[in-house]
Amino acid sequence: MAGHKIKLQSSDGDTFDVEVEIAKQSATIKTMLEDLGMDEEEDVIPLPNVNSAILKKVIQWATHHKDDPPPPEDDENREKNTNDISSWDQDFLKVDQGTLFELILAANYLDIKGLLDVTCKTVANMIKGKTPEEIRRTFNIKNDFTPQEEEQIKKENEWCEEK
Amino acid sequence: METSNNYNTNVLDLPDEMLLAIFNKLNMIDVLYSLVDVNKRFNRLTLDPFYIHTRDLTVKCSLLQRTSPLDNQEIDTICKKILPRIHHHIHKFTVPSCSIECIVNIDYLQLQSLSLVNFEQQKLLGHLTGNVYFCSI
Repeated sequence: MAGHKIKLQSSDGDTFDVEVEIAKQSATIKTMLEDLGMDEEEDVIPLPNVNSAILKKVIQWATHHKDDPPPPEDDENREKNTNDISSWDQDFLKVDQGTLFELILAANYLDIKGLLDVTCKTVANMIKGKTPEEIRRTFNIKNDFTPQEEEQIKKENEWCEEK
Repeated sequence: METSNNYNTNVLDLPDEMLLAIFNKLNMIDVLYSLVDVNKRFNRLTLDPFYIHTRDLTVKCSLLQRTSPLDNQEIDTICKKILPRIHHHIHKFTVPSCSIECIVNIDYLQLQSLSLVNFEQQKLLGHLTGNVYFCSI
């Protein structure tokens, strides 16, 4: 069925014609097609959690990676390596933080392991080597510890330094 | 690039599951050095043993992976600031000789495995026999 297409509908109502084999990189869509029998060309698959700009990016990513071998199973003992992001993916993910986090949410919802992996690695690389204060600045995170809690943390640290 | 935000989506808008997926891409040293004490939620995710256990991630703390001189500050911060708060949850610990000084005086109640790497025999003996906590392991 090469070239066979389906329609994906974003949360804001836009529809995208996508080759079935490309769309099937999403395990969520694959399940819909295979288990629910939604394989007729006129069927539209609604994706209420993904807006059209993000869906467009996801389709762009999936189109580039359509011939990739299936990603390996998770292995906690595998060496953590965040430096193996391909140059295409690096360029693809040169986006603002909001877009990056939206891509993570979309990859999770659509269950696209490769995209989730590479977006999480990109954020991990933004974390590496930074102090907690730098992390707050980078990601616009508010320090929500009360003065009492800050004091408690300091005390715990003193306990160690005295040892 | 990092400050503009077309979708106003912040890292804190990600569910815990997604934050942990990101944290899991980092070594334990990176997690402890950069993410502890950022805010309450990050502390809950990085320090709470129950949460870690439910995800089958028994705390494994390895100081071996990062031992270049450039990382001394990170290791020092972790030894002084973080280890005292997680020592009772550590099950497995890998320690290179350069880090031994700052970790020997802590009681690791749950410790089941200790790997000591690149130690000189005499130096190691001194540490082990002179330390009340290690004698009890």
